[in-house]
Parts: sequence; C-alpha cells; structure tokens
Amino acid sequence: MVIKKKQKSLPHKKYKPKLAVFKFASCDGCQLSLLDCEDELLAVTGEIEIAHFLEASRRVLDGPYDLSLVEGSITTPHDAKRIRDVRKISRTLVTIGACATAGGIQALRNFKDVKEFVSLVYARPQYISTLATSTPIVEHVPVDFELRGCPINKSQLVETISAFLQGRKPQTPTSSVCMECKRRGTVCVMVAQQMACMGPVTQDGCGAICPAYNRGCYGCFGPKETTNTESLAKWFLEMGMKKEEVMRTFRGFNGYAPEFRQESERQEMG
Amino acid sequence: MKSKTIKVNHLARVEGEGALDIKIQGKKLKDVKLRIYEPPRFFEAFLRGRDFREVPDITARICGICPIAYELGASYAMEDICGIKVEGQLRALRRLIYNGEWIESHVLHVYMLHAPDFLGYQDAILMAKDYPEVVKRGLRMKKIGNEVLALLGGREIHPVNLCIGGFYQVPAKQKLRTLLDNLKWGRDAALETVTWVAQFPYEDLNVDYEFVAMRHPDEYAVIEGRLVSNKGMDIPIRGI
Ligand code: SF4
Ligand code: SF4
Repeated sequence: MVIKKKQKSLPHKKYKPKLAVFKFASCDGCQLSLLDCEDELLAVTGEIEIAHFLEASRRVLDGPYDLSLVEGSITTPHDAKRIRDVRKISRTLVTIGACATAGGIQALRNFKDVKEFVSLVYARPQYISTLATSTPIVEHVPVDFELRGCPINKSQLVETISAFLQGRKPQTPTSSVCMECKRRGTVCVMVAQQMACMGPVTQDGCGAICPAYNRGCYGCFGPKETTNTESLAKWFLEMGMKKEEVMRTFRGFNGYAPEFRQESERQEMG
Repeated sequence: MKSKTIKVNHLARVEGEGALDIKIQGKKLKDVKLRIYEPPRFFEAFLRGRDFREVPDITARICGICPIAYELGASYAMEDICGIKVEGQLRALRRLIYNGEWIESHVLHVYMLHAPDFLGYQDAILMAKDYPEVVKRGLRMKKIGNEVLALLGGREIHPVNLCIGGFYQVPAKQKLRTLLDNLKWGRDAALETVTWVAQFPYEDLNVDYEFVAMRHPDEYAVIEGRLVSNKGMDIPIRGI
C-alpha cells in the first residue's frame, strides 16, 4: 500500500474584502468622511482592500467589489447607465448621503424647468448634457442599505463598514432628532424660542447638532420613519410662518424625499 | 516622427471628475485636452427665490472639501447687500474656522493627494507602508484642522454654526483653550512638513506663468484682501 504524503497547503493570505467608492452628482463631502476617519483609516485598510476610490487613490483593482459605497444622484444619461454597471459589479451596494438617497440639493430642479436652468447658468448650453431630474440611486437599481445625511456621519460610516465585515445589519437609529436632543439635554428651540425646527420629522444620526448650536434643524438627514409632516407644517403656520416659507423649509437638501416632497407640494398648492 | 497619445480616463486624487488626453509627437507636445465630466448641479439657478438666510448653507454643498469658503463667501455677499459689517471677535472667530478648513484641506492635498505622486506611490495608504511616521503626522495635522471646524462649526463637513452676521452660537473660552496644545504641536508639524516637501524632486521647467493670490497688508489674506499677481494685477476684492 502506498501512503500518499499529505500535501502541504500553501500559506494563503487572508482574503481582504474589496471596497469601492463611486461618485455621481455630489459635492465629495460624503466620501471625504472616509478620509476624515483619521484615527481609523489605517486600521480599516488593514481589514479591507480599497479597490476603487478615485478621490484617494489612482490604483484601481478590477471588480466585483464586496462593498460599494455610492455617493451622489443620477442627473445625466451617462450616469443612469453607469450606475447599472456599478450595481452589476457590486455584491453589496450602500448609498451614502442625501444626494444618493434623495437626489440632494440639486433635486430642486425637479420642481422647475431644467432647460431654463441650463440656459441661465451656462453661456453655451449645447455642451451641457443633463436629465430633467436629479434622482436617488434606488430609483435606478436595488440598494442594500442607505446611510442618510448631508453629509453622512463619520461614526455611522465606520459602523456600516464594520457591520458589513461582520455580516450583520448596521445599527443606525431611525428615531427623530428630537429624541437625541432629549438625550443630550438640549432645551427645545421650538418650544422655548419659537424657532422653526425640522427635528420632529427628521431622522437622527447627526447627534442633534443644530439645536445644540442654537438653531433649528433643517432636515439634512431626511424624513424619519412614519413622520407627521402635516402636523409640523401646521405648527410652523401657527408660529406665523408664511405658506411659502413652510414650503421652502421642506424643500431643502432632502426636498425630493417622498414625505418632504408631499408636504412642500401641499403647501405650494393650498 | 513617432506620435503617442496618453489617455487618462479618470483623474484620481483630485476633487471632482475629469479626464486628460495628451498627444505627443517626437519630443514635442501636440495637444492637451482636459475633459471635465462632473455633472452640472445648477446652484445659480435654484438659489433664486430662496430666503437670503438660507443661502450660505446651500452654497456650502458646492464642495464638501471647502464648505467654509462657500458659506463665508455667500455670507459676505448677503452682508454687503444688507450693509452689515462683521468685526472684532466675530471676525476673528471667522478667521479661525476658516483656518481650520485650510489646515484640513491643505494637509489633505499635500499628504494624501499630491505627495504620493512625488514619491511614486498610488496613494497615501500605500505610501504609509514605507513612510508610516510621515503619514501619521499628516493624519494628525488634518485631524487638528477638523477639530477646529467641529468645535466652532458643529461638524467637519458642512458646519451648521455659521450664519449671516457671524455665528448662531459663540464658543466658550474654555472650550477654545482645549485646542491650544494641539495647535502648538501642529505649528511644529507644519514646519517639518515644509522641510519634507522642499526635498521633493521637481522638474527643471520654467514656464512664464502669471501667479495670482490674495494680499492683505496686515494679515495672511484669507477672508479679506486684494487680488494681486506677479505681473502687476492689483484689484480690490473685499475689505481693502
Ligand atoms: S449628501 Fe451632501 S455632503 Fe453628501 S455628497 Fe451630497 S451634497 Fe455633499
Ligand atoms: S440637526 Fe438637522 S440639519 Fe442639523 S445636522 Fe442634524 S439633521 Fe442636519
């Protein structure tokens, strides 16, 4: 009987999941959050291979990517196609920031005539290729998880990447900014100072910064789950705001998110 | 003569999106084309009809790397219209937060966006394998800039505390003091950075450029000054 010698297995390197970052119409702020993780950056790159992140590296590794972070909204025919290509080479796709999750501030065009916008801003409109709307990624391809904010919160980003590495769901709150004000002990700026505040209808995640700095929240994290925008709008009107101001308050960085959009349209019509 | 085209379809380590085509014939440069494909966002158009107090927060979103520039720029424009002058300590605080942004954004550019090109790396993370202390120094400097932004502005990117007339809330002296030690360390680190960068290899190339910068007689021109150049341009921008 011949005893086969057991073959020694080759020493194999630990597999590092591949991370990709893609940019569409945006300001770069959300992807900058990753480079702003000064304390975690080198540690993160020990666990994860940054395979495609043009703002940080000219090294581009081929897909498929295990985790793709997508910043920005879809505003050109070229990008509408590109996002489908990105989806094809991404195992998990996470959208980061109000542009990607709600169309961003550039979605204000959705309420107006984009042709007028083009001729107003550019001396040679014929060079400009643009769609009539700025739309969130989820209107184009399936999205696995959405990270809110304009910009996203750094700790939430680190949490999302770690959750992905551990194969669990990210722990990000779905409660309102109001809850966070109570936790930090900020006196309500609306009750105490009659300031308009979007806190009651806005998802927490920023840590309720604005009221802590003595101003009302302007809704940069977008609508929280099950909002009552109508009731808040009524409050605003009772405080003496004009309908047009209430409309504008809902029509901001997340103005195209369905809940805020419906409210601003209600104010515009009625 | 042999001709060659270099095509860079995606420029990396810059803010925004663009591509570069270079045509060379023999030893001569034939053509250079920079294509910016960053999609337009139409700020100028959708700002019409907004309340003037909303403008600084909106223009901030032009760029996440230098939002203070846009927040302050818009605030100054509105203040000029309203005839408001922001002076004294509020002006000093504005300079401070703007400097925080300069520290953050310039360190980002020097250490993470440009140095890898000079030293032959694809990015700062790969560069950190050979120069761990240098990259760590850069990250620490960058963080200090961000700390100034977060303390005065509420957060690093798109700070929420700036408004027409100054700030929604001014910081307590005690809190500002907490920045001091780090900033002192940062000043030394900045000097080390200059020494480090001065050793980079530069091409021996002289081009007849016109260099343009802001100038102020009494201070480093960040928020006020005249626009001057090495070829005699001198126009008032703001303040003086
Ligand atoms: S969501 Fe806001 S911070 Fe993020 S990319 Fe868009 S404009 Fe910039
Ligand atoms: S309080 Fe509101 S506007 Fe301010 S940072 Fe938080 S979510 Fe954004």
